[in-house]
Amino acid sequence: MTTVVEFRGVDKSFGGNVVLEGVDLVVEPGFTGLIGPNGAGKTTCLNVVSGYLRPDAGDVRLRGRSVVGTSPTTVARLGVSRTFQTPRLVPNLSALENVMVGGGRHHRLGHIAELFGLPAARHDERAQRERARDLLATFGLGAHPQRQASGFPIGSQKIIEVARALLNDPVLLLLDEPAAGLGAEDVDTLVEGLNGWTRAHPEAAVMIIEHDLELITRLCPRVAVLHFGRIIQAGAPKDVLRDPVVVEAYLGADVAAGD
Amino acid sequence: MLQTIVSGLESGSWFALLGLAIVVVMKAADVPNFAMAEMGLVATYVGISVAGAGAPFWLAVLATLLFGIVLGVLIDVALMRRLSRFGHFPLLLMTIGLSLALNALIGLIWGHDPRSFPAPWSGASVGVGGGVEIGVSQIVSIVVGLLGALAISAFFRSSTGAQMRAVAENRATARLVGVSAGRLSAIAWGVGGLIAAVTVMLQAQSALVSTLSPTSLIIYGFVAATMGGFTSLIGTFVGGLVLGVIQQFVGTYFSTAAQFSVALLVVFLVLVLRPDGFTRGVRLRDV
Amino acid sequence: MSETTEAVTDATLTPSASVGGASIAANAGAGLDAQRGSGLRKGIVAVVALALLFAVPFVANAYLVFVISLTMVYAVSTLGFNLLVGWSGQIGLAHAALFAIGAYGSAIGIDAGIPFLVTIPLAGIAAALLAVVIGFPAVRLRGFFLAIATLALGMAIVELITFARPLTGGGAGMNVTVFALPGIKNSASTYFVVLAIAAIMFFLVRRALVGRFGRTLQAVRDLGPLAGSLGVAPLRYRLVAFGLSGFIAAVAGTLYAQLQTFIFPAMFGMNLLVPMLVMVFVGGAGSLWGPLIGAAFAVVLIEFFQDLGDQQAIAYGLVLMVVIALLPGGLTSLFRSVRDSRFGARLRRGRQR
Repeated sequence: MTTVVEFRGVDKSFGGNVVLEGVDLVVEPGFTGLIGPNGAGKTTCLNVVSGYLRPDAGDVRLRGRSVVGTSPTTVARLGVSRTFQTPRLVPNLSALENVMVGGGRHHRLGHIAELFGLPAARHDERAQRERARDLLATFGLGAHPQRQASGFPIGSQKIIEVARALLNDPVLLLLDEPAAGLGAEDVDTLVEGLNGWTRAHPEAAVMIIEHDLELITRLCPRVAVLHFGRIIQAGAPKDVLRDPVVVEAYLGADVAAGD
Repeated sequence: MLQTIVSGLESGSWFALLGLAIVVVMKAADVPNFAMAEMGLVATYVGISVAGAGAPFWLAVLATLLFGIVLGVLIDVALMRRLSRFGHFPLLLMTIGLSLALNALIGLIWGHDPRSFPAPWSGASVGVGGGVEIGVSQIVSIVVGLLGALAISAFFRSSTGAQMRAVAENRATARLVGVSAGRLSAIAWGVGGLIAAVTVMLQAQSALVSTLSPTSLIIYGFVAATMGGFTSLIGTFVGGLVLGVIQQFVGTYFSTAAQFSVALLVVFLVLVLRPDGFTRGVRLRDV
Repeated sequence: MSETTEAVTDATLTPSASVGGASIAANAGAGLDAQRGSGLRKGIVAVVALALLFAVPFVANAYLVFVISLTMVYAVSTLGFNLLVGWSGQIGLAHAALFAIGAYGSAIGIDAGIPFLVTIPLAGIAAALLAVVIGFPAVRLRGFFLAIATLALGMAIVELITFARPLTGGGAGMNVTVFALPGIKNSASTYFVVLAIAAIMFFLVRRALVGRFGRTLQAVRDLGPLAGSLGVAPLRYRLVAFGLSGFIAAVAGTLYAQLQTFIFPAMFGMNLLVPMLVMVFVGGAGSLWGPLIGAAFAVVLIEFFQDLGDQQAIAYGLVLMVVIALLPGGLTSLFRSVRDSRFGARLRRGRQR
């Protein structure tokens, strides 16, 4: 089966607040955009599929296997990686080391090997280091892999986080506003890197939450719109973005924000 | 049996009040103040000296309370504020260092002998039938404890209290709305110092205090605060009382040596079974 | 569950909301790549330092030998404490108690006929297991709850040692049979044993922290529950950190018992925990020099204040407060600001040529 993720009738509330309501969504390989006004529940969707939240009702399937109630660690090992709105790196590790922190999926050696630096672990380490270096280079950060992560501008930090997520060889990559705060050049590098990666991994899916609608149109053949926890429209960007229901949702949100 | 319960409620009131002081400061400064009991002791000794110099009882009490407030604010402004950006560890260490320094200071100025705070009702007791006598000072402790908890509760319902809760919830947003975190921090520390002073004063008017008392008192205060999950006032208060009663029973029917260990066990069990404490009632932060 | 929800929303607010970590993390594993890069140079420095240390008993008096031994013991203890507080970001305050387990475990073992050197790993394992037992509920707790829970348990352990009078001599304490290397005078013998064990521990710990384990541990510290999204089990790593720190503390404890020759429970209470906190704080969180510096600082302080008698405690408290106020990032932050300054940059450029 090629479908990577399937949301079926997912409900989620916090206290009295309904955040997701009857979400049905099918995510195929390639890029899928997830857009909607603030507070629509986009990040909640990511949290649900990555194991951080348990839906009150409904099911979420990863390649046909339900991940409801699965811990985030297990979900990640199944091949799900994500980035966060604000980059969560280890500030005093180098960019390269930060990327190497990813890839939990491939950790097959136990703590003993890790702790004592046994030959198997050292071999593993070298292989990971090479892959990490390559990933950084793909995203234009190959020049200073040894520099401390805190020494990079925040845009670059977000890209490092993406590289880290990719070390895991994910079947599902979740990007939470990857372009926010990035300059035009960085965005181009990001897009190029992602495109290259998806070409090399045709079976993988990338879900992108973004407010930058131009980026969405550029990257995603499919986009879903969330509004007050419900999917109000899904399809090709050029159709969806002109749909009057969607326009009203955004305009309505704009008007409300403007008050 | 009644005697044991009353004694337990009495010491429990001390634990509860100190726990409340710890919680108040925790909300504002995000640090458990290890020096809280010492702060109370300093203030109480000041009061004892004032009384010893011939001043009337209530003046000495006032002196203690004022000193407690001033000490709290001073510690906040001079020490704690500048450390808040560096994370929890330095703050914690600072309060530990402070408790050491204050304890030693007390020893230097007042010596290490046990003292008491003589009150008009010291030594008086009330008979409640069956030959059981309850010390008036015990009743004072319990009543003041209750009043104190109510006062703190009311404070947190006031606008200042609401602001403090807002800051506890989310510092960034609170600042945006114009809440002065600095002013609130000083108020919280002042209130904490005040409550600590009341606590040790109560202890001194009923039993003896010395430089050795704060070491155990602060632990008991922490247990109470933990029972309230460091957020709930009622949880802390009730927790403190329950701890006091358990302590007394263990001491009376089992062994005094085991008392301390029991407190330690209680706090550990609470943290294991209810990691967020018992958090019903007035919460300073929605968990 | 509540922990994960809180964390994911926290992610959008604060970049690094780790508990004890903010100041310590800034120094932890600083530029490990850089450390590894100059591996040969570091190796030479280490060998030279070892050689110098080896020579000490031949040139120094007994008192100095004792003080340096003590510093090394504290350095090992701080190594373990650092692993827990600095690297895994957990303020676990049972360290002094686990140290005591090492001291008492070894002393009792020797009396039971077990050779001293064998008691070291045995005590270490016992403490590691105990630390894991403590850690089991503790690792789920955040921040100060963890500190208080571990503090309580630590104190309870010391109380237990006091209660077990037939085994431990109770509050009055017990004698420790000192192990002597054949043919070497007692104080020098203990010194060499301490030196050897300390060197081994430093080597092992550094090896463990420099690779994937250290990296992942730091990720768990800084990302908290979000580390799960990396395919890492945060709770398991935190538990392993507890166990390791317990093992290291106990090893230091066995050496401590040999040095002091007589141990009693009061030695292992706040009187020890506070200096341990100071050491780990002052030393910052480098994998090699930090604990050594912190230990040296504390020992110097203790010896310096020895003569003050009653004023000791206040001096100690004051110094602690001053150090924290002036250097909230620990001593290594001082080194770091020098390094990052222009002066430091000029030094580096000069070296690279």
